[in-house]
Amino acid sequence: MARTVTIDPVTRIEGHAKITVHLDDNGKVSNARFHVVEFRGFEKFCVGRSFWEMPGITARICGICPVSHLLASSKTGDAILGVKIPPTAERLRRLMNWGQIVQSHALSFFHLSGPDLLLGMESDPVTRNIMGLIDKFPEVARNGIRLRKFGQDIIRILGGQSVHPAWTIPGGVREPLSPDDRNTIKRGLPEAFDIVELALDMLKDAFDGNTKEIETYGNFPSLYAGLVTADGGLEHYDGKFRIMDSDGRILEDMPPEEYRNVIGEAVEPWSYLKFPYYKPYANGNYADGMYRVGPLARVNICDFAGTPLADRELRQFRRLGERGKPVTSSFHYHYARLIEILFALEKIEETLDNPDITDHHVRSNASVNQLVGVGVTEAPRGTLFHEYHVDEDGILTNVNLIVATGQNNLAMNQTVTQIAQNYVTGGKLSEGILNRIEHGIRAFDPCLSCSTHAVGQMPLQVQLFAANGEMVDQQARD
Amino acid sequence: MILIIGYGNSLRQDDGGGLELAQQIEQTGRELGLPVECICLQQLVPELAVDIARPDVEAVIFADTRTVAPDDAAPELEIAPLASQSSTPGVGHHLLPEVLLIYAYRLYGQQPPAWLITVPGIDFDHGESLSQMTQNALTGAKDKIKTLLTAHFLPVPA
Repeated sequence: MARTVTIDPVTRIEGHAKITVHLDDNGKVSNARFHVVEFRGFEKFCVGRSFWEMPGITARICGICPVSHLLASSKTGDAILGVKIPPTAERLRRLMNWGQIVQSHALSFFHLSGPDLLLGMESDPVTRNIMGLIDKFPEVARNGIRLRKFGQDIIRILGGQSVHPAWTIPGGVREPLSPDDRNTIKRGLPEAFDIVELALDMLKDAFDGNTKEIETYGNFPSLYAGLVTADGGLEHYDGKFRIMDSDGRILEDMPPEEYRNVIGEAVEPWSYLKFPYYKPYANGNYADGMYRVGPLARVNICDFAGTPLADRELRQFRRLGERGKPVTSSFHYHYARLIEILFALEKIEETLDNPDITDHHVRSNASVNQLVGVGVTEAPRGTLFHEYHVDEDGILTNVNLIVATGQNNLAMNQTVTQIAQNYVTGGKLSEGILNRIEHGIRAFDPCLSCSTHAVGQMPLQVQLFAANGEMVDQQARD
Repeated sequence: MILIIGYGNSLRQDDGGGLELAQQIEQTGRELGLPVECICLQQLVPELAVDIARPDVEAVIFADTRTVAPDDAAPELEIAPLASQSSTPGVGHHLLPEVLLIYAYRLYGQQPPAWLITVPGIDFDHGESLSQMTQNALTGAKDKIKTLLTAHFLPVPA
């Protein structure tokens, strides 16, 4: 008899989600779904507000990655104003973005996924958490906290507070960086570099013990999308929007503000998370246009990183896949995340050494010159699009947001299905298998607050349903 | 030095009471001539363990809003000493003060005495004002704060 298993809530992710695993009449996994169960409606209630308010409003979508929304929203405002911001302002925005990359990736690697990687996917759930990590690997736990603190401190130093800093605005930023503050940030770099190098060693040591996970955790061909620099380098703030296929062929290298030409959004009744897809591949089935964004995608699509240590790791990363082709396993989001932390630290160091970084000219002034603005940036989890339509007074008439986690929705669903098919046997769930399914989601480091433009509690529930719709098993956590 | 950590969302009505309370504790401490440092933020984060474990921190006071029923009979300031607990900690929206103390102890070997001081709150809807209940508790908070600080941090007169 076919059944469905439900995991509700999913733990150690940001936001609130449910997974259902559907078994066929032979007890084999036929399908799995990742449900996001929150709704907020930012795109609607922002209509009627001024575009000037949008950085502050959209930052409240999330407390983990508000900087991404601040930057995308400010860039959208730049477009509406029709301004090019001062060079120092761009450097400072990039500095904050890299600080966010460091803190967010550190949180994901050390706190959210670290317990699985170091303590074991099916280890005792009582200790498979940050406290278990503290007990068994206190130095790793300390490193995670210190590295995240470094990233948060950059945000706080630049913006006045580490969460929802009211600093980036249309036209530039509010305050320059003082020489003292620049030096404070610089002093934290040596320790940060040491920590990420230790994390890289730790992760590579874990590869041998996770060969099946690498093979089965979201390992499938897909498209990959994200920003690259004008010459194809790793990029997080601006540049071209690139889409690459699973053979490494570049399908698009386009201005990101023209995203609507190639990106569509589908909806399903069982989730509040939309399903972005690549339109030219859809051909009547939007799922055929699935693409991945975020660290794995960015590291796959770039031709090089552009900093020595990150390029060193990038060369090793490329060897994990077929020659000349993207690395396909979602397990390697973890490695891509650490490469990006390394890249961010190198770029932070380079930027702080620029003598113009403390320049006081950090804002361009103008009024409404364009009635449509699009701002695109790379959040830690992937490409983020903000599009605003305004009237002559700058009042919003239409808002569209496409966030990173949403763009990974199809891939997360396929990942959950693949893991379930490989590990759920006999139509029963063990707690360890639940954690494996959850880890497949954690590899993407989803921000469900952003993706539904919602806030909720963290947990995940898994339910097992028969083919006749009867729920036959369920696992949940407090 | 007494580390004061106030947390809450100032855009969610009474949830901002913890931030006001933290500033009041800081001011009272300074009036008593005590070395105090105040950190205010939207939520508790793991990195605060590094601040708690600093060698110059002799005590920690957390300031927050607690949810009470609208007809609560005694909606006053509450002061409770904190002990580390062995519960499973979370990361995200619900990190507890006790868990931060555990982090500070297990990672850095520091275990300063700690208290949680809360004001009551009944309205957590969107907005920047405080309910009458929360305001009343804040108005009457100073004496209790002064008593706590005097008892634990000022030398006993000869």
